[in-house]
Amino acid sequence: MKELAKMVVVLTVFAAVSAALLAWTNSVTSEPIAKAGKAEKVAALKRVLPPCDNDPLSESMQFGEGAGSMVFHVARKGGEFVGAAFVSSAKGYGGPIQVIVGVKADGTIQGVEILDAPAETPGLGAKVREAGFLRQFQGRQAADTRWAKVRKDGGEIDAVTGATISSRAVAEAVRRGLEMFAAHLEEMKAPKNASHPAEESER
Amino acid sequence: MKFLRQLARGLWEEIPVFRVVLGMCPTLAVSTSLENGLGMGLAVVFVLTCSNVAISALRNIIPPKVRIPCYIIVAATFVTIVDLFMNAFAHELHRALGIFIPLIVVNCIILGRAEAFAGKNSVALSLADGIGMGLGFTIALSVVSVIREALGNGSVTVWHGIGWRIPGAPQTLLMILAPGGFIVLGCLLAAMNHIQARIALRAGRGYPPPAELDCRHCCLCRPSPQNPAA
Repeated sequence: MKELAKMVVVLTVFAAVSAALLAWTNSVTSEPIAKAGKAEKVAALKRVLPPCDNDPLSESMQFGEGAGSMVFHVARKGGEFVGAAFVSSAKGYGGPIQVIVGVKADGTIQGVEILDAPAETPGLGAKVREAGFLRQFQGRQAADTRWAKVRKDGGEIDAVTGATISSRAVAEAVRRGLEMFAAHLEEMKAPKNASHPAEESER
Repeated sequence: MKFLRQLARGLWEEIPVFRVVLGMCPTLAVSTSLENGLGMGLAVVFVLTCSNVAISALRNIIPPKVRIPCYIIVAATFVTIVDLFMNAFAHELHRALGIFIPLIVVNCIILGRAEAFAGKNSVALSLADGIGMGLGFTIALSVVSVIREALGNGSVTVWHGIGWRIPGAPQTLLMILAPGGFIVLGCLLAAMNHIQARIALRAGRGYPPPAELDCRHCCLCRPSPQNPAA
């Protein structure tokens, strides 16, 4: 009986101390983690968008509903629409792959980057992060998205060797976002003051 | 002196992957490039050292019947702390290693060393054991990674695009995939056994059976005229 009591006490104390340590760690790190995540997104936005003088992160619009909805970050220079970036995701080999895509006002893609691909196989699927693969998207047109498929599916994107599923997911995420971009281009072009109602709901 | 000897044991005599044959899961999963191997290895050094010290310090408090859950709690706590701190203050590094850090909890080396060493030895020796075993794991992982990356991808990447491409090297996809991991690991294990058996026989010693390895199916170190000590 005494042995049993000791086991219970020791395990409880272990769990409690561990929980306390983790709670402390979480309280110390949660703010820097959020900040680092935001800084990362700002940096990515800057790379995929043309030069602008507004803050694309805060000037966002949401289109679509439910799971298919997408947030667009609008870039303006002197109040003029110069481009927009969106975050889109699709199911890859091991889990979702999140991409960020920047499109210029004339409908050509400025850049595509992988924001997060946590579950792709290292050395295979994870290679979709590499510039050689992502460069294929640059300069493509948003108006006609038939090219945005891997060659196996009839598109013009060369899949990463051995990682067709991951490559396909990236192409699909880009294509879905581009279709949304084309459908809502006029709304984004509207001057900032004619505020879109969705702009509020994003906050 | 004892400290250094214990540290060195993890590097050769009881090198985790090749001799103790623990930690196979991350070895096979992660060893697709040197960068990944090094990252995983260094994260393990840190967690293993911390958990060894903590478990050794608490070894007289932990009741034997519930020692395994206690060890797991200690290891999981350290892993989560490392994960969160790395994410907060070394975000770039965390991006590269993110998927491997949670894997450390289920790394048998942590539990194996807690059970086989830290639970029975002093804090100082457990510290040495943690560092030595961690570095040994890093070395083993790096060797497997270099071979797989060179054969499978024609390159050797040390860190974030810093590395070499081997010009004209054939890229054998198989080596990057899981079967390649098993093939490389099997060859390396065989080579390691061969070398160590040779060294032992030449020195007139018997070849000690690998610690904690089931050797019922191996006749390498069975008693024989050449190997009387085993």
